[in-house]
Amino acid sequence: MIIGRYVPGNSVIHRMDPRAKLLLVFFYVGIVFLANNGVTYAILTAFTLLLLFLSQVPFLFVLKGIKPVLWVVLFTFLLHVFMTKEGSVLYQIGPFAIYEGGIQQGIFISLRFLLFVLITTLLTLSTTPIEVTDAIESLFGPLKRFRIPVHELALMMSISLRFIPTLMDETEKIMKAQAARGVDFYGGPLGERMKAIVSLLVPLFIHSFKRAEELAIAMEARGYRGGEGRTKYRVLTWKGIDTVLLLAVAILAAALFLLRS
Amino acid sequence: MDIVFEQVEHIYQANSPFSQRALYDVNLSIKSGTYVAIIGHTGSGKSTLLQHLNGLLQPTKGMVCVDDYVIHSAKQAKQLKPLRQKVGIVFQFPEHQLFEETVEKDICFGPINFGVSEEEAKRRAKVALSLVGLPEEVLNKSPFDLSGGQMRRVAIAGILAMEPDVIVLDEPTAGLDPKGRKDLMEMFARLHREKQLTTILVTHSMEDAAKYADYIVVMHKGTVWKTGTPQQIFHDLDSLLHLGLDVPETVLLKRRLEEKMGQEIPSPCLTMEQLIAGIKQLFAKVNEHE
Repeated sequence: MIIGRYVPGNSVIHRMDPRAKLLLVFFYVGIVFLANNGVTYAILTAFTLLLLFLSQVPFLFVLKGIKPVLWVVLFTFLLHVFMTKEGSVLYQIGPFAIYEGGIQQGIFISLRFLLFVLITTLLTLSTTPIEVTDAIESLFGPLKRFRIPVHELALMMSISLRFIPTLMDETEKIMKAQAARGVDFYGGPLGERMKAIVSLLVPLFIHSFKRAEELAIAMEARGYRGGEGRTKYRVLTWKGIDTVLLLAVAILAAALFLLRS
Repeated sequence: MDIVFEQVEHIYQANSPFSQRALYDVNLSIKSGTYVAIIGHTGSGKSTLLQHLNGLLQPTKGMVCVDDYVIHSAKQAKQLKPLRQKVGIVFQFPEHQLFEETVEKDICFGPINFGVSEEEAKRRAKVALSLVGLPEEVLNKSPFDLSGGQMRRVAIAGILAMEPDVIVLDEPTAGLDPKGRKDLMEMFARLHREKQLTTILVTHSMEDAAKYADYIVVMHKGTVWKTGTPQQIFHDLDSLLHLGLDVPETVLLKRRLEEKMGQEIPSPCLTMEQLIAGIKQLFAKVNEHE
Protein backbone atom coordinates (compact mmCIF):
# COMPACT_ATOMS: atom_id res chain seq x y z
CA MET A 1 0.00 0.00 0.00
CA ILE A 2 1.40 3.42 -0.85
CA ILE A 3 -1.61 5.38 0.31
CA GLY A 4 -0.32 7.32 3.28
CA ARG A 5 3.31 6.84 2.35
CA TYR A 6 5.53 9.83 1.74
CA VAL A 7 8.05 9.83 -1.09
CA PRO A 8 10.74 12.42 -0.44
CA GLY A 9 11.38 14.81 -3.29
CA ASN A 10 11.99 18.39 -4.25
CA SER A 11 9.42 18.92 -6.99
CA VAL A 12 7.08 21.88 -7.37
CA ILE A 13 4.36 19.84 -5.70
CA HIS A 14 6.62 18.83 -2.83
CA ARG A 15 7.60 22.42 -2.20
CA MET A 16 4.03 23.72 -2.24
CA ASP A 17 2.57 25.09 0.94
CA PRO A 18 0.71 22.14 2.50
CA ARG A 19 -2.27 24.43 3.08
CA ALA A 20 -2.45 25.10 -0.65
CA LYS A 21 -2.22 21.39 -1.35
CA LEU A 22 -4.98 20.62 1.08
CA LEU A 23 -7.21 23.32 -0.40
CA LEU A 24 -6.38 22.12 -3.88
CA VAL A 25 -7.45 18.58 -3.07
CA PHE A 26 -10.55 19.87 -1.31
CA PHE A 27 -11.71 21.97 -4.29
CA TYR A 28 -10.69 19.28 -6.73
CA VAL A 29 -12.85 16.71 -5.01
CA GLY A 30 -15.72 19.18 -5.26
CA ILE A 31 -15.38 19.92 -8.96
CA VAL A 32 -14.88 16.33 -10.03
CA PHE A 33 -18.65 16.09 -9.77
CA LEU A 34 -19.06 18.79 -12.41
CA ALA A 35 -17.70 16.52 -15.11
CA ASN A 36 -20.42 14.63 -16.92
CA ASN A 37 -19.30 14.13 -20.50
CA GLY A 38 -16.31 13.03 -22.56
CA VAL A 39 -14.73 16.47 -22.90
CA THR A 40 -14.97 17.41 -19.25
CA TYR A 41 -13.60 14.05 -18.09
CA ALA A 42 -10.76 14.39 -20.57
CA ILE A 43 -9.84 17.82 -19.22
CA LEU A 44 -10.03 16.59 -15.64
CA THR A 45 -7.84 13.57 -16.39
CA ALA A 46 -5.31 15.72 -18.21
CA PHE A 47 -5.12 18.12 -15.26
CA THR A 48 -4.60 15.28 -12.81
CA LEU A 49 -1.89 13.69 -14.92
CA LEU A 50 -0.19 17.08 -15.20
CA LEU A 51 -0.08 17.36 -11.39
CA LEU A 52 1.26 13.83 -11.18
CA PHE A 53 3.92 14.71 -13.72
CA LEU A 54 4.87 17.85 -11.79
CA SER A 55 5.30 15.84 -8.57
CA GLN A 56 8.04 13.75 -10.24
CA VAL A 57 6.91 10.68 -8.35
CA PRO A 58 7.61 7.72 -10.67
CA PHE A 59 4.38 6.92 -12.50
CA LEU A 60 4.88 3.18 -12.13
CA PHE A 61 5.17 3.61 -8.38
CA VAL A 62 1.81 5.36 -8.27
CA LEU A 63 0.22 2.69 -10.47
CA LYS A 64 1.54 -0.08 -8.25
CA GLY A 65 0.13 1.76 -5.26
CA ILE A 66 -3.39 2.09 -6.60
CA LYS A 67 -3.50 -1.54 -7.69
CA PRO A 68 -5.47 -2.69 -4.64
CA VAL A 69 -8.12 -0.05 -5.38
CA LEU A 70 -8.50 -1.31 -8.94
CA TRP A 71 -10.76 -4.14 -7.77
CA VAL A 72 -13.18 -1.65 -6.28
CA VAL A 73 -13.03 0.35 -9.49
CA LEU A 74 -13.76 -2.76 -11.53
CA PHE A 75 -16.65 -3.63 -9.25
CA THR A 76 -18.12 -0.13 -9.63
CA PHE A 77 -17.72 -0.41 -13.36
CA LEU A 78 -19.56 -3.72 -13.58
CA LEU A 79 -22.28 -2.53 -11.26
CA HIS A 80 -22.99 0.44 -13.48
CA VAL A 81 -22.77 -1.59 -16.65
CA PHE A 82 -25.45 -3.98 -15.46
CA MET A 83 -27.67 -1.58 -13.55
CA THR A 84 -27.97 1.35 -15.96
CA LYS A 85 -30.73 1.01 -18.51
CA GLU A 86 -30.24 3.91 -20.90
CA GLY A 87 -29.58 4.20 -24.64
CA SER A 88 -29.60 1.30 -27.06
CA VAL A 89 -29.04 -2.31 -26.09
CA LEU A 90 -25.56 -3.42 -27.09
CA TYR A 91 -25.59 -7.02 -25.94
CA GLN A 92 -28.04 -9.41 -24.45
CA ILE A 93 -27.22 -12.38 -22.19
CA GLY A 94 -30.38 -14.09 -21.03
CA PRO A 95 -32.26 -11.70 -18.76
CA PHE A 96 -29.28 -9.31 -18.59
CA ALA A 97 -28.91 -6.58 -21.14
CA ILE A 98 -25.97 -4.26 -21.53
CA TYR A 99 -26.92 -0.76 -22.61
CA GLU A 100 -24.81 1.88 -24.30
CA GLY A 101 -25.57 4.25 -21.41
CA GLY A 102 -24.38 1.61 -18.97
CA ILE A 103 -20.96 1.35 -20.57
CA GLN A 104 -20.61 5.11 -20.64
CA GLN A 105 -21.79 5.53 -17.06
CA GLY A 106 -19.51 2.71 -15.93
CA ILE A 107 -16.47 4.34 -17.50
CA PHE A 108 -17.30 7.77 -16.11
CA ILE A 109 -17.97 6.66 -12.59
CA SER A 110 -14.91 4.44 -12.35
CA LEU A 111 -12.82 7.23 -13.83
CA ARG A 112 -14.18 9.61 -11.22
CA PHE A 113 -13.30 7.15 -8.51
CA LEU A 114 -9.82 6.65 -9.93
CA LEU A 115 -9.22 10.40 -10.09
CA PHE A 116 -10.23 10.74 -6.42
CA VAL A 117 -7.76 8.09 -5.41
CA LEU A 118 -5.02 9.55 -7.60
CA ILE A 119 -5.31 13.07 -6.23
CA THR A 120 -5.41 11.99 -2.59
CA THR A 121 -2.52 9.59 -3.16
CA LEU A 122 -0.64 12.46 -4.74
CA LEU A 123 -1.25 14.53 -1.64
CA THR A 124 0.10 11.92 0.76
CA LEU A 125 2.97 10.97 -1.54
CA SER A 126 4.22 14.54 -1.69
CA THR A 127 3.38 15.77 1.82
CA THR A 128 4.66 14.47 5.14
CA PRO A 129 1.91 13.69 7.67
CA ILE A 130 3.28 16.38 9.95
CA GLU A 131 2.92 18.98 7.18
CA VAL A 132 -0.69 17.93 6.72
CA THR A 133 -1.25 18.40 10.45
CA ASP A 134 0.31 21.86 10.37
CA ALA A 135 -1.85 22.79 7.42
CA ILE A 136 -5.00 21.59 9.16
CA GLU A 137 -4.14 23.56 12.26
CA SER A 138 -3.56 26.69 10.23
CA LEU A 139 -6.61 26.32 7.99
CA PHE A 140 -8.97 25.61 10.86
CA GLY A 141 -7.40 28.36 12.98
CA PRO A 142 -10.42 30.69 12.62
CA LEU A 143 -12.59 28.06 14.36
CA LYS A 144 -10.80 28.91 17.61
CA ARG A 145 -13.23 31.81 17.88
CA PHE A 146 -15.99 29.26 18.35
CA ARG A 147 -14.02 27.61 21.16
CA ILE A 148 -13.04 24.64 19.06
CA PRO A 149 -9.64 23.41 20.37
CA VAL A 150 -7.92 23.43 16.99
CA HIS A 151 -4.40 23.46 18.36
CA GLU A 152 -5.09 20.57 20.70
CA LEU A 153 -6.70 18.53 17.96
CA ALA A 154 -3.69 19.12 15.72
CA LEU A 155 -1.38 18.19 18.57
CA MET A 156 -3.33 14.98 19.08
CA MET A 157 -2.92 14.18 15.43
CA SER A 158 0.81 14.75 15.41
CA ILE A 159 1.30 12.78 18.62
CA SER A 160 -0.62 9.82 17.25
CA LEU A 161 1.40 9.97 14.04
CA ARG A 162 4.59 10.12 16.04
CA PHE A 163 3.67 7.06 18.09
CA ILE A 164 2.63 4.75 15.27
CA PRO A 165 6.14 3.33 14.79
CA THR A 166 6.64 3.11 18.57
CA LEU A 167 3.43 1.15 18.95
CA MET A 168 4.39 -1.14 16.09
CA ASP A 169 7.73 -1.89 17.76
CA GLU A 170 5.99 -2.53 21.03
CA THR A 171 3.42 -4.81 19.43
CA GLU A 172 6.18 -6.87 17.87
CA LYS A 173 8.05 -7.16 21.15
CA ILE A 174 5.01 -8.21 23.15
CA MET A 175 3.94 -10.69 20.47
CA LYS A 176 7.37 -12.27 20.64
CA ALA A 177 7.35 -12.39 24.43
CA GLN A 178 3.94 -14.06 24.46
CA ALA A 179 4.90 -16.42 21.63
CA ALA A 180 7.81 -17.50 23.82
CA ARG A 181 5.18 -18.36 26.46
CA GLY A 182 3.43 -20.65 24.00
CA VAL A 183 0.90 -18.30 22.45
CA ASP A 184 0.02 -19.03 18.85
CA PHE A 185 -1.13 -15.81 17.18
CA TYR A 186 -1.68 -17.34 13.77
CA GLY A 187 -3.67 -20.47 14.45
CA GLY A 188 -5.55 -22.54 16.96
CA PRO A 189 -9.21 -22.55 18.02
CA LEU A 190 -11.17 -19.31 18.35
CA GLY A 191 -11.13 -19.25 22.16
CA GLU A 192 -7.35 -19.49 22.29
CA ARG A 193 -7.04 -16.88 19.56
CA MET A 194 -9.12 -14.47 21.65
CA LYS A 195 -6.94 -15.11 24.66
CA ALA A 196 -3.89 -14.50 22.49
CA ILE A 197 -5.24 -11.12 21.42
CA VAL A 198 -6.01 -10.21 25.04
CA SER A 199 -2.45 -11.10 26.05
CA LEU A 200 -1.28 -8.61 23.43
CA LEU A 201 -3.80 -5.82 23.92
CA VAL A 202 -3.71 -5.51 27.70
CA PRO A 203 0.04 -4.80 27.92
CA LEU A 204 -0.22 -2.53 24.90
CA PHE A 205 -2.96 -0.42 26.48
CA ILE A 206 -1.33 -0.28 29.89
CA HIS A 207 1.81 0.91 28.24
CA SER A 208 0.12 3.53 26.15
CA PHE A 209 -1.53 5.03 29.21
CA LYS A 210 1.74 5.07 31.09
CA ARG A 211 3.50 6.63 28.15
CA ALA A 212 0.82 9.28 27.78
CA GLU A 213 1.30 10.30 31.37
CA GLU A 214 5.07 10.42 31.01
CA LEU A 215 4.78 12.43 27.82
CA ALA A 216 2.48 14.94 29.48
CA ILE A 217 4.92 15.40 32.34
CA ALA A 218 7.87 15.71 29.96
CA MET A 219 6.02 18.33 27.93
CA GLU A 220 5.09 20.34 30.99
CA ALA A 221 8.65 20.11 32.26
CA ARG A 222 9.73 21.76 29.04
CA GLY A 223 7.25 24.56 29.51
CA TYR A 224 4.43 23.49 27.24
CA ARG A 225 1.22 25.35 28.08
CA GLY A 226 -0.98 24.92 25.05
CA GLY A 227 -1.10 26.75 21.77
CA GLU A 228 -1.50 30.28 23.15
CA GLY A 229 1.42 32.42 22.01
CA ARG A 230 3.38 29.39 20.83
CA THR A 231 5.70 29.97 17.87
CA LYS A 232 6.32 27.38 15.18
CA TYR A 233 9.43 25.47 14.24
CA ARG A 234 8.07 24.75 10.76
CA VAL A 235 6.71 28.04 9.48
CA LEU A 236 4.32 27.71 6.57
CA THR A 237 4.91 30.19 3.77
CA TRP A 238 2.46 30.88 0.98
CA LYS A 239 4.35 31.29 -2.28
CA GLY A 240 3.48 32.41 -5.77
CA ILE A 241 3.23 28.85 -7.05
CA ASP A 242 0.54 28.09 -4.48
CA THR A 243 -1.65 30.91 -5.77
CA VAL A 244 -0.97 29.86 -9.35
CA LEU A 245 -2.02 26.26 -8.76
CA LEU A 246 -5.15 27.24 -6.88
CA LEU A 247 -6.06 29.64 -9.70
CA ALA A 248 -5.51 26.77 -12.09
CA VAL A 249 -8.09 24.77 -10.18
CA ALA A 250 -10.48 27.72 -10.37
CA ILE A 251 -9.99 27.91 -14.14
CA LEU A 252 -10.48 24.17 -14.35
CA ALA A 253 -13.74 24.55 -12.45
CA ALA A 254 -14.90 27.29 -14.83
CA ALA A 255 -13.98 25.18 -17.85
CA LEU A 256 -15.85 22.18 -16.50
CA PHE A 257 -18.85 24.32 -15.73
CA LEU A 258 -18.96 25.72 -19.26
CA LEU A 259 -18.31 22.48 -21.06
CA ARG A 260 -20.56 20.15 -19.11
CA SER A 261 -23.72 19.03 -20.80
CA MET B 1 19.93 -29.88 25.43
CA ASP B 2 23.01 -29.17 23.36
CA ILE B 3 22.65 -26.11 21.19
CA VAL B 4 24.49 -25.76 17.90
CA PHE B 5 24.53 -22.87 15.45
CA GLU B 6 25.93 -23.70 12.03
CA GLN B 7 26.76 -20.93 9.58
CA VAL B 8 23.74 -18.97 10.71
CA GLU B 9 22.88 -15.83 8.85
CA HIS B 10 19.87 -13.63 9.46
CA ILE B 11 18.74 -10.84 7.20
CA TYR B 12 15.79 -8.73 8.29
CA GLN B 13 13.30 -8.00 5.51
CA ALA B 14 15.33 -9.99 3.02
CA ASN B 15 14.82 -9.26 -0.68
CA SER B 16 13.53 -5.77 -0.06
CA PRO B 17 15.19 -2.38 -0.27
CA PHE B 18 15.10 -2.29 3.53
CA SER B 19 17.05 -5.52 3.99
CA GLN B 20 19.52 -5.51 6.83
CA ARG B 21 22.01 -8.19 7.72
CA ALA B 22 21.92 -8.70 11.47
CA LEU B 23 23.88 -11.96 11.71
CA TYR B 24 26.32 -13.78 9.47
CA ASP B 25 28.52 -16.82 9.68
CA VAL B 26 27.61 -17.58 13.28
CA ASN B 27 29.02 -20.86 14.51
CA LEU B 28 28.44 -21.73 18.10
CA SER B 29 28.04 -24.76 20.23
CA ILE B 30 26.67 -24.67 23.73
CA LYS B 31 26.91 -27.81 25.83
CA SER B 32 24.00 -28.84 27.98
CA GLY B 33 24.18 -27.46 31.51
CA THR B 34 26.63 -24.66 30.87
CA TYR B 35 26.25 -21.01 31.76
CA VAL B 36 27.07 -18.87 28.76
CA ALA B 37 27.27 -15.09 28.67
CA ILE B 38 26.89 -13.24 25.41
CA ILE B 39 28.46 -9.82 25.36
CA GLY B 40 28.77 -7.20 22.67
CA HIS B 41 27.72 -3.75 21.65
CA THR B 42 24.18 -2.64 21.00
CA GLY B 43 23.51 -3.75 17.42
CA SER B 44 26.10 -6.52 17.48
CA GLY B 45 23.37 -9.11 16.89
CA LYS B 46 22.86 -10.46 20.42
CA SER B 47 19.09 -10.10 20.45
CA THR B 48 18.73 -11.52 16.96
CA LEU B 49 20.90 -14.44 17.98
CA LEU B 50 18.83 -15.36 20.98
CA GLN B 51 15.54 -15.18 19.11
CA HIS B 52 16.84 -18.06 17.01
CA LEU B 53 17.00 -20.26 20.09
CA ASN B 54 13.26 -20.94 20.17
CA GLY B 55 12.30 -20.31 16.59
CA LEU B 56 10.96 -16.78 16.98
CA LEU B 57 13.28 -16.03 14.09
CA GLN B 58 14.32 -18.43 11.42
CA PRO B 59 17.82 -18.24 9.97
CA THR B 60 17.99 -17.00 6.38
CA LYS B 61 21.00 -19.27 5.92
CA GLY B 62 22.47 -22.16 7.89
CA MET B 63 20.78 -23.99 10.72
CA VAL B 64 20.15 -24.02 14.44
CA CYS B 65 19.90 -27.27 16.38
CA VAL B 66 18.51 -27.42 19.88
CA ASP B 67 18.78 -30.97 21.14
CA ASP B 68 17.21 -33.00 18.31
CA TYR B 69 15.18 -30.05 17.12
CA VAL B 70 16.51 -28.58 13.88
CA ILE B 71 15.56 -25.21 12.44
CA HIS B 72 16.85 -25.04 8.91
CA SER B 73 16.82 -21.94 6.73
CA ALA B 74 15.38 -23.80 3.76
CA LYS B 75 12.39 -25.36 5.50
CA GLN B 76 9.40 -23.62 7.00
CA ALA B 77 9.54 -24.45 10.68
CA LYS B 78 6.47 -26.13 12.10
CA GLN B 79 5.32 -27.24 15.50
CA LEU B 80 7.48 -24.82 17.44
CA LYS B 81 5.55 -25.30 20.67
CA PRO B 82 7.63 -28.18 22.09
CA LEU B 83 10.79 -26.20 21.37
CA ARG B 84 9.40 -23.08 22.99
CA GLN B 85 8.52 -25.06 26.10
CA LYS B 86 12.08 -26.32 26.35
CA VAL B 87 13.69 -22.94 25.75
CA GLY B 88 12.31 -20.22 28.00
CA ILE B 89 13.23 -16.70 27.00
CA VAL B 90 13.10 -13.89 29.51
CA PHE B 91 13.02 -10.81 27.32
CA GLN B 92 14.29 -7.40 28.28
CA PHE B 93 11.83 -5.72 30.62
CA PRO B 94 9.77 -8.93 30.94
CA GLU B 95 7.26 -7.13 33.21
CA HIS B 96 5.82 -5.64 30.01
CA GLN B 97 4.31 -8.99 29.13
CA LEU B 98 2.11 -9.28 32.23
CA PHE B 99 -1.58 -9.04 31.44
CA GLU B 100 -3.72 -11.23 33.70
CA GLU B 101 -5.86 -10.11 36.63
CA THR B 102 -3.88 -12.04 39.18
CA VAL B 103 -0.26 -13.02 39.55
CA GLU B 104 -1.27 -16.67 39.75
CA LYS B 105 -3.13 -16.58 36.45
CA ASP B 106 -0.26 -14.84 34.75
CA ILE B 107 2.27 -17.39 35.92
CA CYS B 108 -0.06 -20.22 34.86
CA PHE B 109 -0.50 -18.71 31.40
CA GLY B 110 2.68 -20.25 29.92
CA PRO B 111 2.28 -23.77 31.35
CA ILE B 112 -1.39 -23.92 30.29
CA ASN B 113 -0.46 -22.85 26.78
CA PHE B 114 1.88 -25.83 26.68
CA GLY B 115 -0.89 -28.21 27.69
CA VAL B 116 -0.31 -28.50 31.43
CA SER B 117 -3.43 -29.10 33.53
CA GLU B 118 -4.77 -26.26 35.64
CA GLU B 119 -3.97 -27.86 39.01
CA GLU B 120 -0.45 -28.69 37.90
CA ALA B 121 -0.01 -25.13 36.60
CA LYS B 122 -1.15 -23.73 39.95
CA ARG B 123 1.26 -25.98 41.79
CA ARG B 124 4.05 -24.82 39.53
CA ALA B 125 3.03 -21.19 40.06
CA LYS B 126 3.58 -21.58 43.80
CA VAL B 127 6.96 -23.22 43.31
CA ALA B 128 8.07 -20.64 40.75
CA LEU B 129 7.00 -17.78 42.97
CA SER B 130 9.07 -19.07 45.87
CA LEU B 131 12.00 -19.63 43.50
CA VAL B 132 12.00 -15.94 42.58
CA GLY B 133 11.73 -15.06 46.25
CA LEU B 134 8.22 -13.66 46.52
CA PRO B 135 5.76 -14.52 49.30
CA GLU B 136 2.71 -16.63 48.51
CA GLU B 137 0.25 -13.82 49.34
CA VAL B 138 1.24 -12.17 46.08
CA LEU B 139 -0.53 -14.93 44.10
CA ASN B 140 -3.95 -13.34 44.39
CA LYS B 141 -2.83 -9.77 43.81
CA SER B 142 -3.04 -7.96 40.52
CA PRO B 143 0.41 -7.89 38.94
CA PHE B 144 -0.11 -4.18 38.27
CA ASP B 145 -0.28 -3.40 41.99
CA LEU B 146 3.27 -4.67 42.52
CA SER B 147 6.49 -2.68 42.48
CA GLY B 148 8.65 -2.73 39.34
CA GLY B 149 11.13 -5.21 40.80
CA GLN B 150 8.34 -7.52 41.98
CA MET B 151 6.65 -7.37 38.59
CA ARG B 152 9.87 -8.48 36.97
CA ARG B 153 10.15 -11.40 39.37
CA VAL B 154 6.58 -12.43 38.58
CA ALA B 155 7.32 -12.31 34.86
CA ILE B 156 10.40 -14.45 35.40
CA ALA B 157 8.34 -16.87 37.48
CA GLY B 158 6.01 -17.11 34.49
CA ILE B 159 8.89 -18.43 32.40
CA LEU B 160 10.23 -20.73 35.14
CA ALA B 161 6.78 -22.30 35.56
CA MET B 162 7.08 -23.57 31.99
CA GLU B 163 9.91 -25.74 33.40
CA PRO B 164 12.30 -25.10 30.51
CA ASP B 165 15.62 -26.91 30.15
CA VAL B 166 17.28 -23.84 28.70
CA ILE B 167 16.73 -20.38 30.08
CA VAL B 168 17.68 -17.37 28.03
CA LEU B 169 18.05 -14.05 29.82
CA ASP B 170 18.18 -10.83 27.85
CA GLU B 171 19.64 -8.20 30.18
CA PRO B 172 17.49 -9.38 33.07
CA THR B 173 18.72 -6.71 35.47
CA ALA B 174 18.27 -3.64 33.26
CA GLY B 175 16.74 -0.78 35.20
CA LEU B 176 16.99 -2.39 38.66
CA ASP B 177 18.83 -0.98 41.66
CA PRO B 178 22.19 -2.52 42.65
CA LYS B 179 20.69 -4.76 45.32
CA GLY B 180 17.90 -5.93 43.01
CA ARG B 181 20.51 -6.72 40.37
CA LYS B 182 22.64 -8.75 42.72
CA ASP B 183 19.67 -10.66 44.16
CA LEU B 184 18.38 -11.53 40.71
CA MET B 185 21.77 -12.64 39.40
CA GLU B 186 22.34 -14.78 42.49
CA MET B 187 18.91 -16.31 41.98
CA PHE B 188 19.71 -17.27 38.39
CA ALA B 189 23.04 -18.73 39.49
CA ARG B 190 21.26 -20.82 42.11
CA LEU B 191 18.61 -22.01 39.63
CA HIS B 192 21.34 -22.87 37.18
CA ARG B 193 23.08 -25.04 39.76
CA GLU B 194 20.04 -26.63 41.33
CA LYS B 195 18.01 -27.37 38.20
CA GLN B 196 20.95 -28.12 35.92
CA LEU B 197 19.62 -25.53 33.50
CA THR B 198 21.49 -24.40 30.47
CA THR B 199 21.64 -20.67 31.04
CA ILE B 200 22.30 -18.11 28.34
CA LEU B 201 22.77 -14.57 29.57
CA VAL B 202 22.93 -11.51 27.37
CA THR B 203 24.49 -8.73 29.37
CA HIS B 204 26.32 -5.43 29.26
CA SER B 205 27.78 -6.06 32.69
CA MET B 206 31.24 -7.50 32.33
CA GLU B 207 31.29 -8.12 36.08
CA ASP B 208 28.30 -10.45 35.79
CA ALA B 209 29.74 -12.19 32.74
CA ALA B 210 33.06 -12.73 34.54
CA LYS B 211 31.48 -13.85 37.77
CA TYR B 212 28.75 -16.25 36.66
CA ALA B 213 29.52 -17.58 33.19
CA ASP B 214 31.45 -20.71 32.29
CA TYR B 215 31.91 -19.42 28.76
CA ILE B 216 31.70 -16.02 27.17
CA VAL B 217 30.72 -15.33 23.58
CA VAL B 218 31.80 -11.94 22.27
CA MET B 219 29.64 -10.68 19.42
CA HIS B 220 30.84 -7.96 17.10
CA LYS B 221 29.03 -6.47 14.10
CA GLY B 222 26.78 -9.47 13.55
CA THR B 223 29.13 -12.35 14.05
CA VAL B 224 30.97 -14.21 16.79
CA TRP B 225 34.23 -12.45 17.41
CA LYS B 226 35.60 -14.73 20.09
CA THR B 227 34.53 -17.44 22.50
CA GLY B 228 36.28 -18.71 25.59
CA THR B 229 36.26 -18.95 29.35
CA PRO B 230 36.10 -15.64 31.21
CA GLN B 231 39.77 -16.06 31.98
CA GLN B 232 40.66 -16.40 28.31
CA ILE B 233 38.41 -13.57 27.21
CA PHE B 234 39.53 -11.04 29.78
CA HIS B 235 43.16 -12.00 29.48
CA ASP B 236 43.27 -10.14 26.18
CA LEU B 237 42.34 -6.74 27.59
CA ASP B 238 43.55 -4.57 24.76
CA SER B 239 41.52 -6.09 21.95
CA LEU B 240 38.35 -5.97 24.08
CA LEU B 241 38.95 -2.32 24.82
CA HIS B 242 39.69 -1.82 21.14
CA LEU B 243 36.23 -3.18 20.31
CA GLY B 244 34.86 -0.55 22.65
CA LEU B 245 33.76 -3.11 25.25
CA ASP B 246 34.25 -2.77 28.95
CA VAL B 247 36.22 -5.17 31.08
CA PRO B 248 35.55 -5.87 34.76
CA GLU B 249 36.84 -3.13 37.05
CA THR B 250 38.79 -5.72 39.00
CA VAL B 251 40.75 -6.73 35.90
CA LEU B 252 41.56 -3.11 35.19
CA LEU B 253 42.72 -2.58 38.76
CA LYS B 254 44.88 -5.68 38.58
CA ARG B 255 46.57 -4.35 35.47
CA ARG B 256 47.22 -0.94 37.01
CA LEU B 257 48.66 -2.50 40.14
CA GLU B 258 50.91 -4.71 38.05
CA GLU B 259 52.14 -1.69 36.12
CA LYS B 260 52.79 0.31 39.29
CA MET B 261 54.47 -2.46 41.26
CA GLY B 262 56.30 -4.14 38.41
CA GLN B 263 55.08 -7.47 39.71
CA GLU B 264 52.65 -9.91 38.20
CA ILE B 265 49.55 -10.94 40.11
CA PRO B 266 49.00 -14.65 39.49
CA SER B 267 45.22 -14.59 39.97
CA PRO B 268 42.99 -13.70 36.98
CA CYS B 269 41.09 -11.30 39.29
CA LEU B 270 37.73 -11.72 37.59
CA THR B 271 35.79 -11.12 40.79
CA MET B 272 36.25 -9.02 43.87
CA GLU B 273 37.19 -12.11 45.92
CA GLN B 274 39.85 -13.17 43.44
CA LEU B 275 41.22 -9.64 43.36
CA ILE B 276 41.49 -9.50 47.14
CA ALA B 277 43.26 -12.83 47.19
CA GLY B 278 45.56 -11.62 44.41
CA ILE B 279 46.47 -8.42 46.23
CA LYS B 280 47.18 -10.39 49.41
CA GLN B 281 49.53 -12.67 47.50
CA LEU B 282 51.22 -9.66 45.93
CA PHE B 283 51.78 -7.97 49.26
CA ALA B 284 53.09 -11.14 50.80
CA LYS B 285 55.59 -11.40 47.96
CA VAL B 286 56.65 -7.75 48.29
CA ASN B 287 57.04 -8.07 52.05
CA GLU B 288 59.14 -11.18 51.61
CA HIS B 289 61.54 -9.29 49.38
CA GLU B 290 62.03 -6.61 51.98
